[in-house]
Amino acid sequence: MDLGTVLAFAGVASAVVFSGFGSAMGVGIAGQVSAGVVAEDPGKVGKTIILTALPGTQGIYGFVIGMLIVLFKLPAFHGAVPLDAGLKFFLAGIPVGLVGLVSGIWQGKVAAAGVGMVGKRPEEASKGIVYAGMVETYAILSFVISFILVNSITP
Amino acid sequence: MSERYYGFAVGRIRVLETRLLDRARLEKLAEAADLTEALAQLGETDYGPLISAGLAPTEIAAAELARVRDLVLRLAEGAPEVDFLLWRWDLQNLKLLLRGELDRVGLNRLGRYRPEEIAGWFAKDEPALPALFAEARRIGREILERTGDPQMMDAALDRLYYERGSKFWPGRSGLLAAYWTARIDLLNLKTFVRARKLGLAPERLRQLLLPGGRVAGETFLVHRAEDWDEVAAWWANTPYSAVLAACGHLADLPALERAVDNFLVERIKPAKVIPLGLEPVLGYYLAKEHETRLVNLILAAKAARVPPARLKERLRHVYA
Repeated sequence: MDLGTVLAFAGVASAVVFSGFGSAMGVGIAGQVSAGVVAEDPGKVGKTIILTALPGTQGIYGFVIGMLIVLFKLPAFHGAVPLDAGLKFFLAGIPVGLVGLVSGIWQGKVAAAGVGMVGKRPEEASKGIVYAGMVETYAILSFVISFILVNSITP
Repeated sequence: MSERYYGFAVGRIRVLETRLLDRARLEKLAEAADLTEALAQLGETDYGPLISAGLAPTEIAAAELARVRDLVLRLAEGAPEVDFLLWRWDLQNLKLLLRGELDRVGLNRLGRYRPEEIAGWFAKDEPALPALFAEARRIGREILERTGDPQMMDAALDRLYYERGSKFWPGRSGLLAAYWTARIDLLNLKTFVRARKLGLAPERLRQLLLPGGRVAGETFLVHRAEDWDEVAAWWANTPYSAVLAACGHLADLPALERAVDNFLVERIKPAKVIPLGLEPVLGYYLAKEHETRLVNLILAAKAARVPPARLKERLRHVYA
């Protein structure tokens, strides 16, 4: 396999793996707190689900970028990917991957704090979602940049 | 301590914190016409199953704390921080074993180890307990053989425990380290005030003071012979001047004890807003220790027919 194709695959991997890892960590952290709250008060399951699911979006953004490269961009090259294009794919996958990793973990922590708030004051659940949503901003920005970068790469 | 999130534990604790008795509930309990009404009110809280089980009023608080001890041990998944807090109760059991007073007072079930474990270890070294216990047993036996004074033995074991604590907490939790230091200093202050009132000799006071606080033991000895105004002026320049302001006069021991309890509860309250980690679990346990002391106080006062107004004066701040 030529180096350009290897780098393009590495771009896909970095977008999917890092953001997926961040989401898994984030959902895991928030999910544990939610499970604790629901263990004591099963009636709060509905209010904890959104907060628990929020850190999962980073993984979806990374997956979308990966699929975009694999399904729509790489076939356009009809075989080997040139070295410069491969390097561009690699760099284009990094924003959504790395920001997804960090923001997923931190969003999980904010969401966990929000779930704790739901445990005490369920009527304040929307405020917890707003706080966790603020971390989402940066994941969206990195997703947009990765999307633009990938779309700018042509054979 | 921040290496682990303790997410499940924190989630459960957040809900359980809402079930702690708040100030309004405690005041209502204090206003109850008699012990029967107080027990009926308490039956509507987490204490309900214990009251339904027919426990004697004197047993209710200890039984509730034992339940919380079991819960916290499960939630903390073997965290040494919880073990260390519970060792205080194990050392109380060890003191009783050393004194040979088991006929009069039973061992408590509040420590890290079951009473049977402690008694088995005391008699046959089985099971193996942490080195602190072996050291405490050695020191206790040596003091009892040398002096025959159980109070001196108690003081030596307390010194050992708090000294270990002052090395144990820093680096594990800034909140608990600060709480531990404040607890040592304020226990020393109470000892200092009692010693003055009883006219204890400096050497005796030195044996009773705990090491590891921000206020050095020697400083207490320096101020031992001063009048109360001079002592108050000295204490007003320590980090615990709020205690002096709250109790009015250090010589007023009941007011001082109330102010100390309030100060320590306020010191641990930040655990309520720490989003992840073991601190919320430790804070909840300490809050329950405090709450059960208050419930005990109220039930004992109701049994003794203490007027509600006087009882309410004795209530403390709460964690809830």
